[in-house]
Amino acid sequence: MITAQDTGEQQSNFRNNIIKLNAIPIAQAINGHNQKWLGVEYERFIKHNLSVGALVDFGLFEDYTFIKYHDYFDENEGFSYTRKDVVTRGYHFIPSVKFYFLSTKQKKGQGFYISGCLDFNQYFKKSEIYFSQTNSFAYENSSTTRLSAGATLGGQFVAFTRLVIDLNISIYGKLFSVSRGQNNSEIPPLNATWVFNDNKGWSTVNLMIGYAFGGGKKK
Amino acid sequence: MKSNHKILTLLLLGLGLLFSQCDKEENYIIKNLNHNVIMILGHGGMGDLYKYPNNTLEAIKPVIGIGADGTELDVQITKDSVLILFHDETLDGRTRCDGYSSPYNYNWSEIKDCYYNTLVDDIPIYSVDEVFSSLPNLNDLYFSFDCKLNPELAYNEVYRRQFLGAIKRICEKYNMSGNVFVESDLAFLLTAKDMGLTTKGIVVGSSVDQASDNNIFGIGTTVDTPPEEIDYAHSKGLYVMMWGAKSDAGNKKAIGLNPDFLQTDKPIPILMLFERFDFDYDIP
Repeated sequence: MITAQDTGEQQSNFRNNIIKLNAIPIAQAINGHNQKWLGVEYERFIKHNLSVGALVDFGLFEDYTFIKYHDYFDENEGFSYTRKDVVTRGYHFIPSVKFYFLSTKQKKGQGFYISGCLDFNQYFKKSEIYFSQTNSFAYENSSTTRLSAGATLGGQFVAFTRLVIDLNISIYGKLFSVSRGQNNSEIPPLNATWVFNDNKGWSTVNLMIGYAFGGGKKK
Repeated sequence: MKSNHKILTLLLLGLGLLFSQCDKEENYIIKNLNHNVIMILGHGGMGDLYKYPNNTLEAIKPVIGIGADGTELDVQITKDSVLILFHDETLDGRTRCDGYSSPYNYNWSEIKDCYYNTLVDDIPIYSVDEVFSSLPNLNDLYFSFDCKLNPELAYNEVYRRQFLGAIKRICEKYNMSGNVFVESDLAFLLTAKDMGLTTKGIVVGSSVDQASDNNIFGIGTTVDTPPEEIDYAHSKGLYVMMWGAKSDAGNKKAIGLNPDFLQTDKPIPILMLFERFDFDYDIP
């Protein structure tokens, strides 16, 4: 079989579009939250080393139960417990501009990149609290809306001309946030691997698998 | 092309392994005297591996914040009978008070500015009074006082009574007698009873039969104790306080022994295991 390389022609795969799935629970492995969310990113190249894109992560970002026991020795009200079931759903919308500062000529989109991005994020948290002492329930709802800006360093590998693997790390800084309910306390960024300085900054790590399409081969 | 196949295969294997780890759940059925629940206590706060020293407010607040029932604390007294939190025999070494000997040789005012040798922040020695007054919902918490007796005075009756008097005063001040365990030898705990302390005595260095015969509340033991000994203590109506859980594996080993109270250096994984970790709390 004769290929382009065999004939000595330089081949470049000009796939202008990449659709990626962000489904690897890296944050969950580090922060311990039980999460079931999915991310989809669309990236479009406007130059060989420049692209724009948008990532949407959506789904369940927190699902846990917190049990607290009281009066173990029946010296006051009697042994009892409170059980809090918490579920937080939400989404992140992350538009970005990527610059590939180190890329291969043969495959567009393969190389290392930096990007500037925004993260518009909303979380909706529901808590159900059960008091065994009184056999009663209480309910709490809260939400956080947040806008942040960040920078990303990533590496992208293209296999078989169309399969894309993207590993990146981002650092974000909060621009503003609005929280409602539960003393207006802010729900921290739950996709983060590391949060610092009272939710003013955080980092995320994403490992995405994608499919490149459109464009075509160019000699 | 072949190398691409290898990379892809390895990646998929890795992902499969990651997902399989995420879904692994373990169930433990606890059988003890404590409503079949293990009271989870930190060791000196968040444990030996935390960034702040044990027995300081900086280490105690987070362990309570994440959901622990309380914590073990090393206590000593000063010359003027202030109950303080400190582990070592001398202040020299652990603190910036170079050359200082046992805390018992100083009044509280002389050593309260002995800061720990840490790389971050100025962390002072705390009195129990300072810690109790700083904690919210104190009466919902439990503390196990590991009484660090001055070795030169350990068998001095006056010193022992001075020590126990300090414990009694602080417990009565905060109405905490029912929430405080006192870990020590049998003689010390019998003196405590004699002085009218209603704290819960955890005897160390005595047999189950000796503890039972003297109506002691419980025994203190390590994660290396044979299970039959724990069962025997329970059969005698003695609660079991366990320590030495310094890792996740140590926690699981301890759980298998059905203690009533567990002091752990790794509170986060065990609290998560029992759905008792409060994700709402931000660990400093």
